[in-house]
Amino acid sequence: MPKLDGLSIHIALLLLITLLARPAAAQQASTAAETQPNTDYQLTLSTERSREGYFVVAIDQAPQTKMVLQQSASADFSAIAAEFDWFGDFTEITLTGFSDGEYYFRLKPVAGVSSNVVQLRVEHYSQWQAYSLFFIGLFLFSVLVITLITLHLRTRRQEVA
Amino acid sequence: MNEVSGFALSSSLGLTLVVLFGIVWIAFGWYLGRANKTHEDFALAGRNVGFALAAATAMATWVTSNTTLVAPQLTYQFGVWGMVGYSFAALGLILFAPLAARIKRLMPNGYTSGDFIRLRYGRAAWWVFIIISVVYAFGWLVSLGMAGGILLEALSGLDYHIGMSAILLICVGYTLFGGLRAVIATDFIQALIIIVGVVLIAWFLIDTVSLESIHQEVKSNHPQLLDLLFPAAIMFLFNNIFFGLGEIFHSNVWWSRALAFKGKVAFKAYLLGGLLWLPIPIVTGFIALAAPQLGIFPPSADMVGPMVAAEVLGKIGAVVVFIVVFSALASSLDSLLAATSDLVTRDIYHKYLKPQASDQHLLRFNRYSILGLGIVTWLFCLPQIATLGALLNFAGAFVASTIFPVVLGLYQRKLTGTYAAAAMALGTLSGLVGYFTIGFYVAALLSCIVSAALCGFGLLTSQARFDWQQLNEKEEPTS
Repeated sequence: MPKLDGLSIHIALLLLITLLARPAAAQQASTAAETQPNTDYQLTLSTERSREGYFVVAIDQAPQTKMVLQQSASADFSAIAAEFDWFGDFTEITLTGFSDGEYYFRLKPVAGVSSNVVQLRVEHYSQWQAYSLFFIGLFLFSVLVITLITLHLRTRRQEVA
Repeated sequence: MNEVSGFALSSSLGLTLVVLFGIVWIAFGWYLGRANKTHEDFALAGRNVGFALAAATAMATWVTSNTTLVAPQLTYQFGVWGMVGYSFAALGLILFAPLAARIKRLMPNGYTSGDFIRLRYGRAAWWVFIIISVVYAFGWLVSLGMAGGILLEALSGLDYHIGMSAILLICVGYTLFGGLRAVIATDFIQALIIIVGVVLIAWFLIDTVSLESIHQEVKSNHPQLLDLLFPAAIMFLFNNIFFGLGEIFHSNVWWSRALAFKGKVAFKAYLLGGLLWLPIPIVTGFIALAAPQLGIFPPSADMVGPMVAAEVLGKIGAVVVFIVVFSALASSLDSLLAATSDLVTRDIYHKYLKPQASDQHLLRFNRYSILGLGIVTWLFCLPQIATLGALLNFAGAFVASTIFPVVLGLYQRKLTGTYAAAAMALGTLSGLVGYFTIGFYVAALLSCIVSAALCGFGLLTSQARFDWQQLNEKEEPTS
């Protein structure tokens, strides 16, 4: 077994290294918007075509102020369908539960914040693809359970006999 | 929530909790480890674990990042089917109950799942199995380490690397001192913490945010999450079941417990563990459905559970969440470290490299293996390469291929090593093709289908009759 004092020193060193690795500004995302110059964020999507109705929207730098992501059905954002608060100083936001359709996203243009517009198409798998896999899975699971129960009972009978 | 940072806990409180946890668990592991005199004591807790500890360790080990972080993640992504489908992973524990009893009868002196594959199917199948086991073990270890980092980052804003390093340090520490005895004892305490904590969180959540308002918000703005015909979710359902079955049926985490449990305890312990586990993903998953109503849209889907709980319950709630999730992670991480180091020590080092190694030498090597696994896992965790769900389901392509070879190997004399090896290898390859061409939600299903077909063909064409006595390998005494 490793020596206790040696192990303790290594553990302490490892902890120190990770503590020093922590970015100093990790928790200070929110500062007054009016003191910030205008920041033009670049939005990107994890995919341009989502088959599952969820996706990730990312920005190219940590937020300098509190931000809101806007969603619209049109590129000119004539009507805002939904707004999502951006959390903390993270550079990504994960959205979910979208039905088939075209969606546009941008950061809400306020003092100090602007962004490009990104477009996403949600196109779920067809029902026949989903049901095919479901029934194949159900069949295979039934085979497994029946096999397991049959073999177990047969073995027990043999052991008793 | 903290007004300045948006996080529920301050970084200093988060760090204090980690340090306190570390001291308590490592001291406990050291205390329990004093009773370990032989390698068998260390690796299999003297093969004398009673029913209460056995059921608790089965349940607690299965409550992991899967349940506390990935169940909310999949609910956030797949809606109602995400949480219901996740709870079906309990079938893995329930269906393993008869297998565990059979394992204990066939291999009273066995050590690992690798032992079984080597004795039952021979070297070729053993190599395929070891590769699958190692990939899976690292996939799970890395996901658990990552989960520790994600948890602390979501609750306190502390850098991901601190939480990740801390949980690895703590679990390596007490597993190193206490072996399986410490793992099972801490699992018992962690199981109690998890059950009480999860019930508390769910109760507060329903009390604070009404079911009606959650339903209305999701129905209006995220309708797909309530759709019972959600295509990707339907595709995911059986994939998750086969993934869970593959994880449990092949992994030495569960085999070492079956071998460590006293007498006929194994069957009842796994059955009860599975039934106790069943409702937990429903509760943890439900938390994620409240996220849109609360205006929480996480940076990464696997952070949604802790973020919602902390938002609803405030600082005290965040501390409860921290304790519950950290316990869940620790209960799995320690088990996996112990079981994987057993596999390395017993299957690779003792049986392959150094057959004449003494008991004390193996005990020492086992501890170095735990340390080595911890360090390698830490290195893999440094770059946060994928979401937890995606990382875990990658391993699904591997483990689901072992389901039929393990089941048939335990009960059927006819299946030969050649077919078992081919079933595991080609099943895994098919699963990986599915993973990369369709999505993570079909990997395990495709892997299992191909493996089952090959095993079925092998049974039909084989004339072999395996002698069960070959599994009862006697240890040669070494000084």
